[in-house]
Amino acid sequence: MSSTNRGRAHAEAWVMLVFIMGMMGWYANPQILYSLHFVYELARLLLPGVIPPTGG
Amino acid sequence: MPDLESVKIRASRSRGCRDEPGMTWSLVSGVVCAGVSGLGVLQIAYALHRLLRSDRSSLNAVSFVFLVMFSATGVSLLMGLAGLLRPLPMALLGGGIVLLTWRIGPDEIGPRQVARSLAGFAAEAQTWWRGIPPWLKWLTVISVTVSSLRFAFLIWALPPFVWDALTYHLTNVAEWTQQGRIGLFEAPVARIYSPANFEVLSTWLTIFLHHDMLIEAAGIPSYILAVLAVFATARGLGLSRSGSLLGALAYGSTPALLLASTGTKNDPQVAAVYLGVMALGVDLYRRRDGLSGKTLLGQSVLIVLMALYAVGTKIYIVHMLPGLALVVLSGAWAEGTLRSLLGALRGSLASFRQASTGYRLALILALAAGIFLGAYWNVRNWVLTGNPFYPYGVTIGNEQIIESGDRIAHLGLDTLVENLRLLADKFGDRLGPIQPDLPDTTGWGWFAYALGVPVFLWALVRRRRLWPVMAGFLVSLAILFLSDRPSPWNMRYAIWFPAVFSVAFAAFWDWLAGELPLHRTLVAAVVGVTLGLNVAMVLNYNRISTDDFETMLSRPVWEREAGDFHVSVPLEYSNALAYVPRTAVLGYNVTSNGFIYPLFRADFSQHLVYIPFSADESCERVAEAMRERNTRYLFVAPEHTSDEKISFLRRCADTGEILRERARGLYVINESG
Repeated sequence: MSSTNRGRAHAEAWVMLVFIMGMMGWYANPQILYSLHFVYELARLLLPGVIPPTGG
Repeated sequence: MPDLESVKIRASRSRGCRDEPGMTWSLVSGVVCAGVSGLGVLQIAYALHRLLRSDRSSLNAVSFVFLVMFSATGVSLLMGLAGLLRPLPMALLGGGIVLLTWRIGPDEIGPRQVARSLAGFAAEAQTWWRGIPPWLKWLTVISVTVSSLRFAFLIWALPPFVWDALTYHLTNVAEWTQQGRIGLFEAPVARIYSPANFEVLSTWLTIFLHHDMLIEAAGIPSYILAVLAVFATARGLGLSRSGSLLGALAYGSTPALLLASTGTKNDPQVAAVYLGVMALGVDLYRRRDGLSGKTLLGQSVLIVLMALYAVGTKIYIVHMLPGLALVVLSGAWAEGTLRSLLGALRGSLASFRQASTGYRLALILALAAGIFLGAYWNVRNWVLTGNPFYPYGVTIGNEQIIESGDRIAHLGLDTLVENLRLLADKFGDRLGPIQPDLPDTTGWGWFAYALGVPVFLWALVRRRRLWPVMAGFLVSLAILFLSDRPSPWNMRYAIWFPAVFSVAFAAFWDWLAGELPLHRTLVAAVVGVTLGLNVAMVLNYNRISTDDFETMLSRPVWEREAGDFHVSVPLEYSNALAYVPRTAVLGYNVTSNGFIYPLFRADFSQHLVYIPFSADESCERVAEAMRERNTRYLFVAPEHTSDEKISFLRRCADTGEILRERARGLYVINESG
């Protein structure tokens, strides 16, 4: 791969990574809350007193 | 009205169903019969597999898993129609098939060949595994372990609770298990007439234990088939083992698929078959070296069997088939293999004519079985009602093509536009949590949006090789949307669609493999995070609270009743379980979308009878209808019975002459009345 092509590939890969991270951030609102809610509930059940209740 | 404590006491009395030795004996005999019947199913599947196999391992894995489902459904349907859907007859048939095959069957499917195949499979799996990088091995092991544990726990801990399952899918299963026969019965839910290959397969899981504790496992074979098919499709496109495996694991983490697989829904079965045909189709058009006539013939027959099987599961597969045809034709045209493919198809017909009589007979038998599983339900409905799609009528545009039962399937551009508008609203799952019926969400999850959408667009620009497959997915979705009833739940028919993101991702991964190790590491980290978040959100179906889990887990597994699981089932159902003796016939009246299944009980011991009545009739007439059907009990529930009927029954009970309200939702004929 020539250095020009390599540079182009790197730029394309970085653009894709930024796009991916942007999409992830966009999807996180509001899905991150739904995704982690049960894990949080479970942790609260298994570690009573360690993890505070919502709003607590 | 009884208080809660008395309900609990009655419940414990009414539910203590089987004595310990009797229960142990029925459990042991059930497991033994299931084992023997399972061997018979595996033997049939193996025979068909030898007949239709490919020379590519990933396609052979797809083929075998599908044929196990196909064989189990075929055996259960045949036995059910003969009224022999009981453990012993099923075991006798299974054992008989194995013995006959091994004693007088051809060596090709005998015990020595089975042993050779198993050894070959193990050796191939070892070689395959050695070629995977260590970090991906870890990811695979963790993914498979977490998925398996999640599936096993949910199947064991919770009874079924998803809406359509409780109205008609499992109502069929319960009635057939109870009667030992597959047939129609009187019920207000006309959708019990719908094609029911998924329900037949589910019945295989209930008849041996005469209990629904394993019923949610009926979707697991479809899940495995779907994931294998994504891997095979990516491999068929010439993508690397690592990229294909990552893509397959990613599709396996799709929330919509995970939720539906143990949600006792038939959509995963259709999705799996669609993806299976996609994998076979890609292989057909990508072959530059050509296929032998026999292999092509076998693969073509396998495609036909898959399509027929899906028709007998849910008719909407017909709307997705043009997309699959497009994949093969446009792919072969783009690759320049169209002429050789058509030539090979002609050649395969010639090889059929030249083949031995035994081979031809076996192929014809396989096709006959496919036609039986594909056509039985629609032909039965046509004969009984004059409408093969009963209870659905069909309109195309403004034309009524087939008179309706109680629902209309409308095909038109207006439906497509409305469905696309709904998809746009749901895109990004921004309207709520992803739950089993996919209300207001696509259910595609973290991987599809974070990685899938970007790499799909990348592949659109950068990978022409993927265009036929991408076009096929899009066309299938568009044609499906021509008829998919626009509703908050319309995406549940499209759980196969996120697979296209996985295939595109496999291509993207291979591109990164070139000289971009840092980017690759970062993308691998994102894959790991998105897979983890996908699974985290569906650990509890995104719906079941820890309290609900505790309630169910506090009971023995035999007593985890769908009627007592009040996630979607009203409290009235618990009253029916608590107050009506198992030996009595329970009358019920629900709407055409009401829950019937929970009334059967988890061990299918409660006999039910539908009591039709209207709120205009007299109380005496209702009691008479109950007596005519040999029951003293009449069950109704809000949301599941019309409000007018419930008010009418309350008025009858207030007079206290003929009916009285035994508990909320449960009416009993007065002994003196």
